[in-house]
Amino acid sequence: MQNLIKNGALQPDDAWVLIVDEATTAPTDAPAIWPLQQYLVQRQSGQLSGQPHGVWLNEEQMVDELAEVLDELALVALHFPKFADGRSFSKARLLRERLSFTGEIRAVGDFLPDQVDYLARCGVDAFACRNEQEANTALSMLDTFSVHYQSDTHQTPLFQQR
Amino acid sequence: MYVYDSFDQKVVDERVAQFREQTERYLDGQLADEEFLPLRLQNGLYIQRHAPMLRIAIPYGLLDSTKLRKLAELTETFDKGYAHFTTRQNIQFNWPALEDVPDILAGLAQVQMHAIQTSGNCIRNTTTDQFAGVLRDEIADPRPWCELIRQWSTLHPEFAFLPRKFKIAVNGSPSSDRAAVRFHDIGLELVRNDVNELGFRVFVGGGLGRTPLVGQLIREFLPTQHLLSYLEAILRVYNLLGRRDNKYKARIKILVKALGADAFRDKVEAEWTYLKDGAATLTEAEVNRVAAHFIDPDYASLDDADALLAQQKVDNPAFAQWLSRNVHLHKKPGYAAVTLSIKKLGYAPGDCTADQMRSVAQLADEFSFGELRVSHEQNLILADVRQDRLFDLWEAAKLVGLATANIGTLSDVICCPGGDYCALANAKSIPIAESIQSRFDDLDYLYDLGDIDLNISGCMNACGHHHIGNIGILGVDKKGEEFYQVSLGGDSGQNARVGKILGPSFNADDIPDVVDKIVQVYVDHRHQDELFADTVERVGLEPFKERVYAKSH
Ligand code: HEM
Ligand code: SF4
Repeated sequence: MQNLIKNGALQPDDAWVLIVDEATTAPTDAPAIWPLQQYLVQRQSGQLSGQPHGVWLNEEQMVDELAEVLDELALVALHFPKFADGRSFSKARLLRERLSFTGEIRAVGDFLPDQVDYLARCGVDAFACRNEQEANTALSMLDTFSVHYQSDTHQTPLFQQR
Repeated sequence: MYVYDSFDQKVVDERVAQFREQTERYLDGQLADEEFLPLRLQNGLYIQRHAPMLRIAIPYGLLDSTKLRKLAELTETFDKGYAHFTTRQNIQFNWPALEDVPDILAGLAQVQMHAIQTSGNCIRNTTTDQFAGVLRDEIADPRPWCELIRQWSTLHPEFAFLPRKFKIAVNGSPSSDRAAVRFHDIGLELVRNDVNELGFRVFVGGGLGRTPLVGQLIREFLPTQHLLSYLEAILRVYNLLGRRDNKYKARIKILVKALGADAFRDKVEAEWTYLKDGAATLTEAEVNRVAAHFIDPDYASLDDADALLAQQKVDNPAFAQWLSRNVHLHKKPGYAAVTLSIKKLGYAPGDCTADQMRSVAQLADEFSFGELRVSHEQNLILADVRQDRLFDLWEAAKLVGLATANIGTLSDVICCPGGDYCALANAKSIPIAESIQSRFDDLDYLYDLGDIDLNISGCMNACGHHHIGNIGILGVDKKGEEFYQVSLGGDSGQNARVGKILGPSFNADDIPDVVDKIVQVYVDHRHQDELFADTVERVGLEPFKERVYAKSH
């Protein structure tokens, strides 16, 4: 995957392969990010490789659908069909704060560089940007704000620091 | 008044820098129109009929003379020298150039103001009673809670891309609701429980627009320290479950209606069990820190000036009228709260010129500790005026055209900008307001009619709150022609009710006659001292319909 930001830096050599749908060929020698349903089916039939596993959620799929398999996952991707759909912000927080997920949470799809700061505060730690320019912009916008009023997945609220 | 510390200042300064950069990226083509749209909206910037429109927050309606003078200066430097106070305790500039907006925001930041989240699908400016903090019967001052909500909602990382806009209002007085909390996405009412602890009654799912609904009570008592975690629970349920397929069905009111209030409450309570006592739980230190900004000004210790005022009233009937309409009881003996009317005939309701702003700033400095408030009825309030100086204030306000004694009457019209400014309008609203105001320009007659809320909107979006006016007028479009639908019986207060449509709509020219007839029916039917709204409630729509739609013989 190109134009990936992870842990606050560009990552040129990311091994994960995104399986968009059944037409995408699953790799045998690299870790894959499966659509949730497909992952469940593969898992059921014992066809998963020895590689680390990832799953992506579409905008309708809620994080509690992952509860049973979350322990097996190294990565959860949240898909943005449209940048205006803000459900993934809540989902990322739930993954980190409610389900205590410590693996990678990756934003994929149509999000804006201007959203990465908020997404990072909600617990997303990797961003698959649409192109190089956006990746650079996103990188520069990761710390637009030095002060945050609210608690987030990294910080207690400002009022506890005043 | 809340004063920013270095943290608060940093947030607005960094926000200005961010928007400057975003505007540059848009202007040199790196951001597409539809990508810039949510970013600019969250900075209050609309693209309107004639030009961009910039909506600036006046958090919970509180201003001071320094801020107002800055607004005056900014309208002169970057706009046409006037601006518009809205029904949501905001102020709008109607003609700024897109390129200037970062500079306007920078100017605002100098006086601790901003346009953050005044539009867009996020948590908007929290509103409250314009008389907050000066009422005799207040359970507690709502303003510290509004400020805590302002901070919590400002740039909230989880809730900046909600299904739709989100509005919160807070009321602190048990006997009246001037903040229309039952017509907000979340309405909060300060209460005390059996053991005298302070908390909130929580209403959810009210709102106007296409589907006007009264909010439903989902919690009788929320202890204050849990305010933010409970709001977070409501917002999270809404963010995850609110409809996103249809913008007209995306408000929380539709979700609450679809699930039913009980099921909605259960979801919120379930979510809250995880959030309760978590990081968002307010500390006593923080509540006290914020509340300390809203302590009483340095009131003199006075007695009520009854004798003086009685004499001045006898000497000056016009002053007596102003006292009875524009001056409000105050918790502190010897003081009063004064509404300066910006509903003078010939001015669009809510419009205020830079000169008027400076005059009001001057009056605030001279008579009210330099502070003022903006009401959702689009007037300005000096909340802490000595009673023995009311006469001087009245004379000074008269000189600058701000002493029209019409508060609460039919000519104190609430009105959106409508077709003259707004790209969404079906019809004009300002000329309708004006035609009614000029028909009802006899103050004695207006006083005889007493309190009547008249609200006008240029389209279904209901920016003029037409649904909750005792008389509501809505601009509608029929085959490209402008018509006006009339409703009666709306109420924004504790008796929250959506008005009922009278019948077929009217031509603009007929509206003053129609309103006249409605008023005549009231005069014919009213019991002694009965308010217009109560008569409508008692007699129903029929007598009004009969008179208004009667065929002329
Ligand atoms: C001129 C540019 C304006 C535009 C484009 C605009 C647009 C809108 C839209 C689209 C809505 C409907 C939202 C919905 O139903 O979900 C709305 C609602 C509203 N607007 Fe405006 N508006 C404008 C100016 C104003 C002004 C000047 C005021 C105050 C005088 C105002 C106050 C309101 C209020 C109070 C509502 C809320 C209705 C509710 O409670 O749901 N707006 N506006
Ligand atoms: S009610 Fe309609 S016409 Fe009036 S300001 Fe709102 S959107 Fe515009």
